Amino acid sequence: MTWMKATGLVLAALLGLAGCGSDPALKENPFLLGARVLREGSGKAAKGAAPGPALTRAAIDQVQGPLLLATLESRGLSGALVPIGQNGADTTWASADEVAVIMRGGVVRGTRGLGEDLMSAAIPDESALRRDGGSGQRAYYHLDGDDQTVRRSYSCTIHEQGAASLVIVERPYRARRFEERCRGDDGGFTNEYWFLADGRLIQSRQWIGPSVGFLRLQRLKP
Amino acid sequence: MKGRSITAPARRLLSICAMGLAAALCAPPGTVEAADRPVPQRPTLNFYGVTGLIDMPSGQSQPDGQFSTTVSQFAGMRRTTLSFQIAPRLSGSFRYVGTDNLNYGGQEDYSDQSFDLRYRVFDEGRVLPSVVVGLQDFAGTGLSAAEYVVASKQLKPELVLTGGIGWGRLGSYNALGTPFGPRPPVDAGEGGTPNTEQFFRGPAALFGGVEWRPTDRLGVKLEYASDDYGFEEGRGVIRHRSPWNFGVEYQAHRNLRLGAYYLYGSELGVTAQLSLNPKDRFGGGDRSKATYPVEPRPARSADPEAWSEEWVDQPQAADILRQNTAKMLARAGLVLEAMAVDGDSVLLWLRNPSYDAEAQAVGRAARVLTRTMPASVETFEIVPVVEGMPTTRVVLRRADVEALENAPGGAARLLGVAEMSDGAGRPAGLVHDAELYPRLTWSLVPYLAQELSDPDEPYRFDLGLRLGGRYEVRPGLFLSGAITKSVTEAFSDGQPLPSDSVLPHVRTDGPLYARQGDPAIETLTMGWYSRLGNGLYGRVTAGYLERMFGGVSAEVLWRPYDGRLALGAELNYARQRDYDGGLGFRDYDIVTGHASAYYELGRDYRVQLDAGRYLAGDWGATLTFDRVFANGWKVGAFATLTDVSAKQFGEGSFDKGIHVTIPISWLAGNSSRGTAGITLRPVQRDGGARLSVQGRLYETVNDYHRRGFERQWGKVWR
Repeated sequence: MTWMKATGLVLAALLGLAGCGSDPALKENPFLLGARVLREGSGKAAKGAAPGPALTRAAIDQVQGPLLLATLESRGLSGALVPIGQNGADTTWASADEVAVIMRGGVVRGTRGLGEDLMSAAIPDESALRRDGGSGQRAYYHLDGDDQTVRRSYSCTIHEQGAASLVIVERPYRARRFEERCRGDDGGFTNEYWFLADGRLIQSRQWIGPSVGFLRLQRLKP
Repeated sequence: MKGRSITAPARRLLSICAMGLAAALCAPPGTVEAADRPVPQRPTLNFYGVTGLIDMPSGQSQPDGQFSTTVSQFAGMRRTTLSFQIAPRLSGSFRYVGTDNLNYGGQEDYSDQSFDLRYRVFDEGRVLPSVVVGLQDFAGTGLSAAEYVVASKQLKPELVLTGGIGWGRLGSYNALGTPFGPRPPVDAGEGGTPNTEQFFRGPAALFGGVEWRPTDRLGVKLEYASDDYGFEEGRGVIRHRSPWNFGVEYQAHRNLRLGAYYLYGSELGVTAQLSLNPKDRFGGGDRSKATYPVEPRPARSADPEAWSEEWVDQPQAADILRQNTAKMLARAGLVLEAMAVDGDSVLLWLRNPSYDAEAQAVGRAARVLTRTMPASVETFEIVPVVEGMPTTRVVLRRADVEALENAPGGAARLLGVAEMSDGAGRPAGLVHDAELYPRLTWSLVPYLAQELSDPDEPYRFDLGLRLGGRYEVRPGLFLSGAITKSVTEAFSDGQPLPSDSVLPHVRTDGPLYARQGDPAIETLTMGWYSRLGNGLYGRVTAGYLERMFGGVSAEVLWRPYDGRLALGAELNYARQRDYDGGLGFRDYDIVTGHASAYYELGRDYRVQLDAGRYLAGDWGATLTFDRVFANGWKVGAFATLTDVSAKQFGEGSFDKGIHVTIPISWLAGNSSRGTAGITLRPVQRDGGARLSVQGRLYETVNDYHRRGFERQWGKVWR
């Protein structure tokens, strides 16, 4: 009866895709349960206010292993990331709600679950980002709304911005801030990096893609 | 096209509006309209819902694929238009027009519908404008008919100048003359056929105007219109006092533009333009969860024991590997149907209930295999299975999976080294997951039914629930059915006009089915699917196939794993069901069937030709043309010509319509295999009607072929 039934379409949209049934695909992926303790604290919808109030040094100390705090500025979301995989020099970090960020050192080269994800990227080494006056190339491979890969390339230069003080969950740091200014065919962006005296990248703000915007990453542990 | 049921398309268009509106404005939970997404600067639409000024068209086009619905009103004239930019240069529109107090064609408030086609013959250059040739209402009664050639030049980013020449309606005010001879009167007959002898004939007149967009959201339009509305003025609908129209428009939302205007020196008018692009997902993309990353093997030199193949000799090793893999696949949203493993390779029959991109399912399965397979297993052979049928074998080297997971452009590079071949046949050593079958699944979903044939209440809609169930006996063999029950019971009253069709009432008795069948057994069938050989698929479905017919349907499809062409044949015996939705049948029965050819033109277009015998016993063919987006959107049109004459067929002359399919994943920004679809026909008659069978082979298997994988291969690492 297709001729008189516009079945489900309007309703599916209006009722928020309602309907229920038995679904063979399992719903919850348990491989991140270890990070759940932080989910309540950091929240996944603490709009405009990240980190959430409950994220404390005491809570961080209870967690085993490395920990990053990621904040997606365009959506006001933040969450803790823990490493869940290692492939060569690339580490896959994931949040409790199963958004993944792939990094080489502290440099983002992929995201999963943010929308128009960064699927892969040619990136500079982390150490090159604290070389004032240095330059390099970046290539980004994004997935667009029609599931097609879009390549964007940029030329980038490093500019040291001097000393900066910052506090990451109760802990103060003195860092040197560097800017990586990138220009490409469709405009550009500026990434920021905060390096400690020992060379550790303690905080960064990195561009992910046109609709996702910037991701702020703060190293909570170690 | 005239007569009582003309309101039908209008109402159907309304449901398209509702669908578009819901899609555009009700962003799904969890998506936030990102503040930094700019307001799009695409060309704007006019009162006819095509790219243009106010009542006049322009020489611009919408972005490729743009899908827009426009509602406009002035002087008691309402136009609801669905427009689709079929290709970068070509667009089509389907429109419903309602005019209050026109007193024409036996209706006080006249309603009509029309189709337009527009083609951009020249792109805008540094100096030269873009030029569009358009046919408006080219197959209708002629009331809205017009042809035009129009040019537009974007003088500045915010300023567009337009000028053109029109015939028909658009040549009626201050005409220059009749360059191509007089315009013959329209012989509409039953309507629905192109009025080619009218095209570009009769008086021609000039029109033009300017659009200024001082800000991203605000637009001002001024035009000189060449339509004198003489017919409407003669019937007291409008007073034409001036050819000058002007108005302002405001982009209220990314997808919604509102306008207010003063037209023809006497009338206020308003428009709402709802526009979206299938290539542009809400919230920007797929926000479904990440999956397991690749787990690379230790270097052989560091841990030679891990690479040993001795595990093969252990009893139960294959069973344990299969169970572990099944568990992890389930967590990744996938189902292990069967597996065969030896020392250096694994073959996985994989069912994908979760992801609309087959490449994504393959990529997720490959990542799981890196976690479950011993290091000596170097080759992953993944065969997606649909309805129990193995489709295409995708062979990935494990070393490539490890090396390309995060490599720049890794998806394209993986495609370059992946091998595909026909997955038909049952390899030795393949062991099914014994716990999968038999398997019962069910669903309960709301539905919307519409009725358009009651003259007292031309549009009636009914909300109800559909309970569906499916019992899979073994792979490829299942019993399935659905029961519908109205909730609002909107069809319990009212008296639609009885069908006036001179053909067997294979479709036009719809209101009787709606009246008498609540609750109803919508479908109840036994289905059997099988791989018949290389490139060959088979299906037999028997039982209550659709609401109006039951019977047996058998189909064979030849669809090689590579290439653009598929051929199919279907033979059905169908008997008309009782109106009451029970198990009984009426007297009418028919042997019907089609030979079909399917061909993919480029990545995005598909043509389908079905030739054979239709439900009313008429012989003929259906041509379908679809734009298929990689993300699953499908917009298409079809037309059926049979040996039924236009007079026998009735209003509309022949069967035709458009259909739209929207993937739920696109609406919701997550992973899902579900789709929502609608088929719009100007009018439903009995000629050219095809049996509706669920799960026809081409739609079932086509995504699982090389071109289907390639279309969405970017999602392999998603």
